Amino acid sequence: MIADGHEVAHLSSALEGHDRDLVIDRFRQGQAKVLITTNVIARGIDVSSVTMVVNYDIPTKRNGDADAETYLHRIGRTGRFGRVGVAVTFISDREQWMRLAQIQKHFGVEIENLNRNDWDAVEESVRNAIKHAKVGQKKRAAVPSESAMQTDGAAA
Amino acid sequence: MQTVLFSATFPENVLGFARIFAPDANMITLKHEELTVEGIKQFFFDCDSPESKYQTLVKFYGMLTVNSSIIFCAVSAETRRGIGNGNSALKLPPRLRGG
Repeated sequence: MIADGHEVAHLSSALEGHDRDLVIDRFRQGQAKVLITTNVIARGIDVSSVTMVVNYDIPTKRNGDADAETYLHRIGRTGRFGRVGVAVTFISDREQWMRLAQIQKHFGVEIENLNRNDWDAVEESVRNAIKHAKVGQKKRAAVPSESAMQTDGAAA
Repeated sequence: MQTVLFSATFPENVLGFARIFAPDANMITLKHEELTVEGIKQFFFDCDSPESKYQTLVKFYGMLTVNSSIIFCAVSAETRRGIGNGNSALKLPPRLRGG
């Protein structure tokens, strides 16, 4: 991915505490835009600018079932503090497909299929998801100004 | 003294354990159907093979301009093999590499 021009940081359990902190700091400061990691820090990272989480491997328990709790903690790394985020899971065989179905059933959600043979449609789906996020933020931002107007009205 | 134990995602066996060591505790629980996070749009890519996963990932990233993102991988034997002798682009240095 570095070869493709992405700014990538890599975090694994092989790194000691101090080095891990350095990696997370660089990611938090935006010097690296993509963080590749295992579960080690799935529950600890709280970087408000994370807009996308990729499950390159679907979380799996030792018994082969989907690990819905880990899935939720992972995707919860995005959309912090009311922001909107995108979560994308990659599957490549029947077992992984079954686990994805388990996760959908567990949380009662529908996970939308991105067709990798139609990149225009992929782009539109993802853009729509992000756009709706921004609309939502504007609505929230509009609330204080409305109350300010009311205050002005009351003063007048 | 107060002991507070909290998580959005306790599995049933952890809840049972909590009931044993704190039998009179106040418990607030959610149905797991209510846990999913509003505001996070969830997608998936259906790929043919581990190789096509990687190709799809790279293409996907080529298409997007996202602020920051996290990629979670299992550290399975398969992943290690992929990093070891698969795509050189996935072969990351031990330390992070900035842009």
